Amino acid sequence: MLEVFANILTLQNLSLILLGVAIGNVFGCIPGLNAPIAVALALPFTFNMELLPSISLIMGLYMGCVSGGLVSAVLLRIPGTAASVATTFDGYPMAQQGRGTEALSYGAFASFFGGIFSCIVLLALAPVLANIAIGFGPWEYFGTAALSLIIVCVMMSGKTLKGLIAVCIGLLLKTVGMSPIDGVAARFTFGNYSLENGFNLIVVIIGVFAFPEIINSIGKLKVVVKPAKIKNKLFYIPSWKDIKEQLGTMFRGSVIGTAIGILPGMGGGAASLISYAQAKKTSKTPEKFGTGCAEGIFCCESANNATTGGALIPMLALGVPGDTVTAIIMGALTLQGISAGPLLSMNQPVIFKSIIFAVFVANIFMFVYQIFTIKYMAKIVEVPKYYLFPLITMFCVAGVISLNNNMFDLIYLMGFVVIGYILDKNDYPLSPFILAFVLGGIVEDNLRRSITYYGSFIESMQQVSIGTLFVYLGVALLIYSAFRANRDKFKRFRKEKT
Amino acid sequence: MGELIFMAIIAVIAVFMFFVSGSFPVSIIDKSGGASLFPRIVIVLLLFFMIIRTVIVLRNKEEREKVFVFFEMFRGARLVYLLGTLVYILLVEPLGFVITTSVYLFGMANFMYFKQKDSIMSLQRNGIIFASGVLISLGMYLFFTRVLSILLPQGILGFL
Repeated sequence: MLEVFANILTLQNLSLILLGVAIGNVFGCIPGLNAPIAVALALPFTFNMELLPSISLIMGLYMGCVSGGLVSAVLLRIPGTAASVATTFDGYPMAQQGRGTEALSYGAFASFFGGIFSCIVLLALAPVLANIAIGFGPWEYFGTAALSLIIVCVMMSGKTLKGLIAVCIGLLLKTVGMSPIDGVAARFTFGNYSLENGFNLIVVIIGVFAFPEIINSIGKLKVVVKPAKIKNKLFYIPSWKDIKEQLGTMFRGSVIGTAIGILPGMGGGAASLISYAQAKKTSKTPEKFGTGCAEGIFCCESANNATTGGALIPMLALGVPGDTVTAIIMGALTLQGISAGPLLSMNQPVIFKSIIFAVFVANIFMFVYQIFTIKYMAKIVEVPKYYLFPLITMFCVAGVISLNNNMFDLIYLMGFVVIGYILDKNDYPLSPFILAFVLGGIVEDNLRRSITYYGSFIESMQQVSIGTLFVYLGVALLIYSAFRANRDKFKRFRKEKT
Repeated sequence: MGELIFMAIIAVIAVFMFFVSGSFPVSIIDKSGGASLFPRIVIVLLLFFMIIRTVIVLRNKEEREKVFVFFEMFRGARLVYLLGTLVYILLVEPLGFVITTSVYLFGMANFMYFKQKDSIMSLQRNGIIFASGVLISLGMYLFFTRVLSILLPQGILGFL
């Protein structure tokens, strides 16, 4: 354990975590910028770094980004990231009542609590899960990845079918390039050598997330929201009485957040909304929710930060990323010669624990940084868009060029901008699309390995294994989802008739 | 209706890909179904889901009348941003990162300022924007190439 501490508690790594937290907070509090973009843009900077410094920077960014969304949610009523949607419900009314300082300090503390809680769960659960997964073969990995893709669609209430279409588009785009296993076919490259390695995940993420958001915001350039005023104090920290009163709320929020974080593609947005609904249901004063009550901030901020540790569990234990950020983190680990998965905790326990410890330290730094800088963070949300958008575009272009120094990446980036914009604006959820792109390789590779091993897909399905269970579970979920959609439709029809 | 056209376009591309996948070479030792197996499964699933979606759209008036957002992307300020960025991307290699980025930052900041404020930037502000654009792009270039050892296009400023 001492080795783990020594790994992370160096001046270089601590500085990088702090830098990551600071930059992440900026990205988080600017609406339209989010953790995937921040981590994707930071990736080129990690190319020349060693493993632990790069992990320190990335974890700092990840934690900083998720909690940074709180600032604009409270002061502008615009969530900086999707994870802060529910924070606007009580954060903004509180700020309107002149209690913006309190709202931000409650949010910062709850984020810290949720982050640390999920970190402890990550430390406890990831090795256990890794031990189970050590016996996984291709069929089990195929089942896990396929089930992840189905869950992320089914969870998109009312958008399951569109989610499935988005998944298929993502999977199909992932097939471009050299085929896995045999490596003899350059698929859908049409003679273009630049396509033989397929589309780069980072380019896809920048194309699908960053640019469409800018394009969308450009249509609303004239809309300028003035942030609510906050008190000018050196630092902000909630009182012990407030913390004691909200311990139960934060604990429940953290449990919900961690559990949802483990589920693929759900993310902080869903976690904070579910936590908010749950807190309102169990509160002694539910009527105060939405009017600026502390409970409403504690529950959702603890939940959205708890998703970070939860999302890292399947990535570190199974090598199956549950969301976009963990997919990029997994990519960063691969670049450093580390493959996330069950073998990581067995063969390189120090590295495994160092990664978790970096998350732990990032959460502490995030809290300390936020309580001291909240008044300055409030200024960032006021940065004019006409400076911000060209700068973000420049970072995106430089980030894409730096991946392979191949100008062709920039050309297909524009293609993904169009795809991302169309899907997003027409209610085709982006998270299943991205998750399919991330997991496409795992799904195909393991499906074909299973067929080779067992002889056929039908024979694979007859194996008594967790993989088979996951595949059947996935099919059952789809059937249930279709049944539920029809039942809801029928209920609506009956209601309209009466 | 727009969604149906979108799905029709996707379907045509998917069917085209299905037939193209027929020409993928297959290794004689490969027993996993070949390189075309997975894309074909995905295409069949995609077509299946899109057929269900088409039926839903056709049977539901509300869904049918929903506006499909696509052309908005190519109108007004958004179009200028897209074209500006496209030109930036196309010129970044021949002209170099520093020159194209400086011009892009200056031009785009001016355009967005005009769009937001309905007035042009003052000469003083223009000077500051231009100078900061040059400094940012030069700083970024030097940081990437000298500190991170990552190549960015030099273009006509080969001496940098």
